[in-house]
Amino acid sequence: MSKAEEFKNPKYYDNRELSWIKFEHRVLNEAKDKEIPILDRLKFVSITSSNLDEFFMVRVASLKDMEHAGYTKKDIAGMDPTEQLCAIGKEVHALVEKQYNTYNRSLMPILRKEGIRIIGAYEELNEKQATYVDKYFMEHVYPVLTPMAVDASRPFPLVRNKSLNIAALIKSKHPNSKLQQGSKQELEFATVQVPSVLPRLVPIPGEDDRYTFTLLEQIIEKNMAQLFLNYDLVCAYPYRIMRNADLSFDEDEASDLLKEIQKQLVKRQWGEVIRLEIEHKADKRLLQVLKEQLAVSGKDVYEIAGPLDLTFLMKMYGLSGCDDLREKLFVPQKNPRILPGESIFDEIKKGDIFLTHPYETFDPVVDFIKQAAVDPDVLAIKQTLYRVSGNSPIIAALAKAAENGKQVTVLVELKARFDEENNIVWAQKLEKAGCHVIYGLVGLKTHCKIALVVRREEDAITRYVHLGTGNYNDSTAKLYTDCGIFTCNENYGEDATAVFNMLSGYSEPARWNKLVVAPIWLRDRFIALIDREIAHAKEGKEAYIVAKMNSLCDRQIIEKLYEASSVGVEIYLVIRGICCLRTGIPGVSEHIHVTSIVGTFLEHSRIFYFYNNGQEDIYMGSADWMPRNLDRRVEIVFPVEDDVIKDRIKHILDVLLRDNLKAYAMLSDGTYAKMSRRGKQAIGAQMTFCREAMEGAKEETTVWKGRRFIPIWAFDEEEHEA
Amino acid sequence: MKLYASIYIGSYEIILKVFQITQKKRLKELDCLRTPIDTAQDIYASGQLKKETVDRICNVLEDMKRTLALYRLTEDYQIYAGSTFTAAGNRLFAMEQIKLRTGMKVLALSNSEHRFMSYRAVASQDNFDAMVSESAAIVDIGGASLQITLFYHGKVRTTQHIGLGTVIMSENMKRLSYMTNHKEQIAQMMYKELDAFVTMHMQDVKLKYLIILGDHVSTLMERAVDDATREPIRMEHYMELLENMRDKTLQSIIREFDVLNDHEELIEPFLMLHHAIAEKLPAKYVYVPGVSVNDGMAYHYFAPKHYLQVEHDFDQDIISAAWSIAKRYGSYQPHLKALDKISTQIFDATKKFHGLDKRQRLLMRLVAILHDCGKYISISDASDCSYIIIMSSEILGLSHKEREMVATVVSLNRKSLESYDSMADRFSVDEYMTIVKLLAILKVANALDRSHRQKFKNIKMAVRGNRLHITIEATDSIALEKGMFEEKADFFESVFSIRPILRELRVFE
Repeated sequence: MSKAEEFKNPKYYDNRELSWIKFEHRVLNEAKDKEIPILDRLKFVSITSSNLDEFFMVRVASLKDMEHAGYTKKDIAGMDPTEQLCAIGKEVHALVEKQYNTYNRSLMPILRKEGIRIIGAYEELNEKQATYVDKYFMEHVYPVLTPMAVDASRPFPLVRNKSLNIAALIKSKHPNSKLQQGSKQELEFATVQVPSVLPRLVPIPGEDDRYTFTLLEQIIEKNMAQLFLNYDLVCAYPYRIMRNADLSFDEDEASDLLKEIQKQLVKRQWGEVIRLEIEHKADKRLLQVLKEQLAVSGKDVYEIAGPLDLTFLMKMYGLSGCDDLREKLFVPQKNPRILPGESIFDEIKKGDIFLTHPYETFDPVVDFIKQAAVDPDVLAIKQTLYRVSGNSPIIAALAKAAENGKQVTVLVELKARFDEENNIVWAQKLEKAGCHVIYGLVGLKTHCKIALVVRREEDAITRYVHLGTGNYNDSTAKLYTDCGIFTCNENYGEDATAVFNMLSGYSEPARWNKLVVAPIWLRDRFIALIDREIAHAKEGKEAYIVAKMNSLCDRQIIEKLYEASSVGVEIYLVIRGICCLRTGIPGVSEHIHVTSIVGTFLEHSRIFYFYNNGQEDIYMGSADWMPRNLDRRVEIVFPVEDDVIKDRIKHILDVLLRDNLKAYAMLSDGTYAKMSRRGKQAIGAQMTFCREAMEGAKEETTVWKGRRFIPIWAFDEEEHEA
Repeated sequence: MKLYASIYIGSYEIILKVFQITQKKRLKELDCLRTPIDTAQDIYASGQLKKETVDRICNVLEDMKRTLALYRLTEDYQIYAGSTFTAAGNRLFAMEQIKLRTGMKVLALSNSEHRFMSYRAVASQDNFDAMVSESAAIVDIGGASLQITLFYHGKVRTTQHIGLGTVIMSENMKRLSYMTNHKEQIAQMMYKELDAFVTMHMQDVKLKYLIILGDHVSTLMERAVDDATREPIRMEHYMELLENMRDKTLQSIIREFDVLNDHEELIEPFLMLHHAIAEKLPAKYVYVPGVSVNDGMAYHYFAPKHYLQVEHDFDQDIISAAWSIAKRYGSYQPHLKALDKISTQIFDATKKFHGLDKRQRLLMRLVAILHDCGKYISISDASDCSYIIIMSSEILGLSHKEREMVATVVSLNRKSLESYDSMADRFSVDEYMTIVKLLAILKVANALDRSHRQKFKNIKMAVRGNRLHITIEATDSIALEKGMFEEKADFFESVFSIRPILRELRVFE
């Protein structure tokens, strides 16, 4: 086998779904970390729960589709869809078990100790509580319930995707009544949806606890008999289903993309059932009915030892009066270069500005658009929007700019998964305000994050560009770690103009100055950059690659990294989630080190560092090393050229690599383990950056900038001595 | 701050470029929109622009308005349609439709004007004058033809039009593809055409620079010759690049050089053509400046306004091209030089009476330089022969109409003037009047050197009252000149209402 062929060996790769499950374990480990306050730990459980939902709807669903279509092509790790589904099933069952173990055994007792009780079964309610709950049921819940029974004339109802329901077996109270004559004496099936309009967590009177809650489904279950007065209730259990939600539609045939997506949204709830969660120890007969009617096989049934759908735990995170149970919220700091009220454009003119969120606030990015909207010299604003927050100030600023006569072009990506409905609303709002809205591109998702302001200044047209690694979303910018730069360098400005011209349907430019754009050029550029390190290593020079991203699963890039490692290039990868690359394989990946950081903030920035024989090339951008980013999306990766910013990014990478608090290292067997800290000072990257941001914000007045010295005339004694 | 947008409707693309004049009086491209259209395909298929193509042009122009609006360009833009568009039988209909549907006016470029726009762009590059100061061939490759302009010692030696183009060749290849050796046949034909040029014009020339211009597909060449500095590269390097590309499959070329595969059928003929040119015009260096008609339009727009730093002297190109034609056809040069001088003297002295401008002064000089060239073929039929020679000689920088005017003046030199009615199909009244005025000046000037012996020294001209006093110092008898003079003066007077009077200062040596 040639060396190149050797690198393709499936056993050197991890399956991406299985790798993802490993990531979920790491998230879940945070919930088990005793150092973390209890409400934060609950949050991590909630996150794994919602992540798992998405995983099923997208990934598992798509594998099911493949299986149905008889598609047997093996993946990067040599597994066909059926094999993958089997393995996923096994791993997810284990994950769910760990999830509920953590919830029941670790978290509930602590919560209890802190004076918060969640009564997960109505049988445990005391008398007072029971009365309260019954009253609550009759007043608030009963009016919005729609119980549905199933018999010959009433077919099995549509159970909505992701909704929580209660299934029951019921038996007629009057088997011999004349009216019921002829009907067989059998158990009947009934179901009722737990209304999503009511809060899942219901506060009930407790003793001297801070809070006592029960769950909405328990209240309904307790009063289930009220819903079927002519029947005896045999048993009732909560259940929940997950359907195939992968949007796959033919864009070439959709004359109007917008309509097509709206159509698909209605369709989504009709998808095939791919997971059934039901309370454990449910009645076998009931389970059988559900399995038959929903066409679910045994391996897709998850018997849950606790409340279904733990995403409600996120609601507990914000409980008032519990600040002692939460990590103190970090307040994003001001960027020392950008003072509120000052013109951002003037500051950018002085030199590129580097932003790190959430350590620094996202306000400058919002202000960038806000100031442009009212600046009389601004001619145009162009921006891509992928996921926007509800009530986004950026949307408002763009609309205002259009109303002020600026030419505003916005590319709204309608295909951002699960955000379609949201995005259509914004898009239409912008259009009404007079913006030129582009609804994505046929066949490609627009994932790049770029904003351009064209300004007519005294002697020339000047272009101001913001390039980032994260979405223009002011809410997630408080939670996701991302980087961005502001620049008015003409090379970037020209490229930005060209990007928007391309997004408007015009041909690509003859050449790009700086930006590297997917799907056309990016893959080749990365390959070339790795090749250059390979060449240097072969010449006996030092060769390093440090890359930080969310996921790594592109076969070609991994092969290239293996090749690089095999000739001695030292490769450090900081990968939050999926990583199909395996480390420590003799002759293949001994020089590759993979770490993963799971912390308070979601690691989201993408940074790529190439040593280049001392020339040090640093790129940042929106793309992961995944086929979808490199081939099926419009992405931008940009070089960082300002020396000061380069130093800061090198520092960031350095701290990330030295993290021994929150970082996991991938071992040669493909599992992850926390770093050993023996004798070393504990370093948490996110904590370090928080601290540095706070110090940086304070420093602002003393940092000497520019070429002119500013003497302090009236200095006092102390300062003099120092 | 000065901005200008040029929109060019080319053979394969519509291109909009927005330019800004920098503080250093340089042209800077701010924005560029380009999108493919099928002009060339339509023309070669049916000679007409298809409805769909016109629709598309309208839609694209409509969309481009947004970009014009962004830079607040309400007046400072122009739309030129290239010579492929102009070749369409229904071009007037198309232009009218575009005007009505978009409110935008399209100016159609003739082939000469079209080539000049590209040339203007390349000649405005910094290193251009240095390149042509030795020897350089500028090859402008289009869909239907290519045009070679040869510079020698800073002067235009010739401009030749050759019927070889990428689209034509690709059509030929399709047409002849049933023959097994069709590629060799086409290659042979191509070499023969180029050989003809080389034998006629390049016998004594050792070429230093080969400058290559062209439409869309040239992006390929620009990418291949990838160096940010855009400096000339050595011929061997260039040949290597071509060889490399020829060895590759179409798909890998498209991939490697990032060309859009809109026109992939043109890539092969494109490579063949470039290869043949490089072989037949073996320069030391090859320069692919990557400028387009759009850039030329901007230079053309800004130059008369003096917004730009002094650029290449295009008038000098035209004059040197004219001299080169005159030499080629063996005209008696001392006479031409005398005539050039006398006619411009008359032109300058009578400015108030003829009202012609700087450009027409240039035409006057061309008339003087070229008025005799037909004698090479036939002395008795010189007028008509001159007309034919001028009409078939490409002069870079001169529009087709201007060339026709020069040729017409020359052909009328020895004939009686036709009435406007008989020329109304070719010239507007203004153009006719220019012809008449130039003719009147030519006749008087020619009369002053009738003997072709430059007997006059120190010619002085002055208008006094309604007379043009031409004072000459003669060393010899000027009886012949005097005899011819009165007849020409009559015509001159009828045109300008002033009468040339010849006054002689006899000088004895």
